Amino acid sequence: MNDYIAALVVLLACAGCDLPRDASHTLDRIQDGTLRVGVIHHPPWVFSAGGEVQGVEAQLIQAAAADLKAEITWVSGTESELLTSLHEGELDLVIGGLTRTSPWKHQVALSRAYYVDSIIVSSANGGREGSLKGDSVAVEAGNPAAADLRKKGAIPVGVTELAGVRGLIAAPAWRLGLLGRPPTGVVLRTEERSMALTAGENAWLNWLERWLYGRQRSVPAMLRGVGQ
Amino acid sequence: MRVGHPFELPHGLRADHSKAKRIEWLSIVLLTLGSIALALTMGQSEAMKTAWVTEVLSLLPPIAYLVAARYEFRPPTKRFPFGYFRSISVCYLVAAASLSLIGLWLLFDALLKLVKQQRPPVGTMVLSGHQFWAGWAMIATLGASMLVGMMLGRLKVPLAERLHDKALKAEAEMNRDEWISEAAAIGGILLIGFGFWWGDAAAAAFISLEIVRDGWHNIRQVVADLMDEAPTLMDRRELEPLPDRLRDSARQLPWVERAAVRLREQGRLLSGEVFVVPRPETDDLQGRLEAAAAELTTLDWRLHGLVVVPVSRLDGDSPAQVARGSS
Repeated sequence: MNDYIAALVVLLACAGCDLPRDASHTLDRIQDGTLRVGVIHHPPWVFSAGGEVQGVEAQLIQAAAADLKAEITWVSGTESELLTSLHEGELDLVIGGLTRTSPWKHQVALSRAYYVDSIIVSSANGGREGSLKGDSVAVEAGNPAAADLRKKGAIPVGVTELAGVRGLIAAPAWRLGLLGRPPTGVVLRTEERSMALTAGENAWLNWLERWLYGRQRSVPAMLRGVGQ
Repeated sequence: MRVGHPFELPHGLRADHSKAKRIEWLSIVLLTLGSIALALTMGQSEAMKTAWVTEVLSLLPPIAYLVAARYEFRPPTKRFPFGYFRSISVCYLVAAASLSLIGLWLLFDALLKLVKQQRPPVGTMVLSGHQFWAGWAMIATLGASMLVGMMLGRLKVPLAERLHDKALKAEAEMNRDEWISEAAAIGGILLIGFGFWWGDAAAAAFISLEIVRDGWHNIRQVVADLMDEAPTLMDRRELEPLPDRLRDSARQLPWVERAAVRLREQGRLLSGEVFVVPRPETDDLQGRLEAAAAELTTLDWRLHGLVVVPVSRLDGDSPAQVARGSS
């Protein structure tokens, strides 16, 4: 029992410490220094326009870097290339609409979701659809939601542009808002948007998660701004 | 005399036996809650994962115990003429074997993480609007689970000793190992907190070693039981003096010239044979043999189904000597 009390005392003493700390002092290095960010092309989260990195996540990180008084070095590349660099500690952060379910989750640290993206079915009149069996639903060509539609018995129709479609469509909630389409109750899938950090840099991970938690309410508005 | 003897616990121990069963139910409930809490806070910590596996595994012995308790004292049947006393050993063998295998797998997993230098990310959690480091939630859950393990162990030890219940005793030990593992996991998470990434996998490796050690210890004990080992002292390797006491009591019977005893453990009970060389011209041998069996059985409550066998000569006093003498 005495051992237990001793352990408890140690714990209480630690509660005041600045835990967690980084394994390789990343946060200390970024502050007043340089933030090395890998960017994966994935609109509306990250894309480049006019030689500038833009998108919801790019805007968030620019604001975060300003709070840390850090300069950003942008590095663009493919997901596997950038995440490999991140795993090796050559980058501090990779952004580009990554999700918590990414198969990379054991190699890198994925932050807590800062935004949950739901892909929803919308009908023209906004009525609640009980069953989609046999219905044709328009979806952006190549979107994984097509597979979800097929599982529900619907017939996915791949289109390049959702704007002009009259009937049923499936799209992320923020997109439906931009198109002025009311959502039905049918949610096809949810995607937890996250950013990738070097694993083991827990002070940096905690700092960014707290920072994003404070900004998460402004994400829908940013999405509307970027989408237009 | 009946060939198959049903066994009834002595009056004084019946209350203990039902209390043991109640504690097992309590263990199942508390350990299930603990496993759920650990799973919810687990995150990507290897030590946490290993502690969770220990917690889930420590559910196996109480379940096995309760299953075995349903069969243990059933009367013998035509198919199982010696009764069901060993059901507890069978349940224990299953639990101990799975324990060892899973322990080895976890050890391998932890060592692999150390070699590959995989660093555990532990981010933040939000609970009713408060955001904090998830490590604190992990430590709090582990601490609560530690207290449960300590309490269960303390409840089980005295009962196990009174009931001469090796399974229950081993379980109490497992509860002890469980809370030691959880203390190690807390250490691992604090090390992560201080930026020592290897602390997590090192703690996990330590915990899995504990699991393997536990499993090996239990396998050895239960295999010995299934190999008809002579009665051993609770929790130790030394043999019990009971067979010698039994032999001496048999020898003191006025009509007995020489005696030898062979006992084995059957679950918590002991059974075996007493070989006696009757003095010449002993009358009413059958009656004396039956009376001797009844009398010798009262020597210890665990003796059950003891048989007294008359023989014309004995080459030694103990089974080992008899075997050597005849070869």
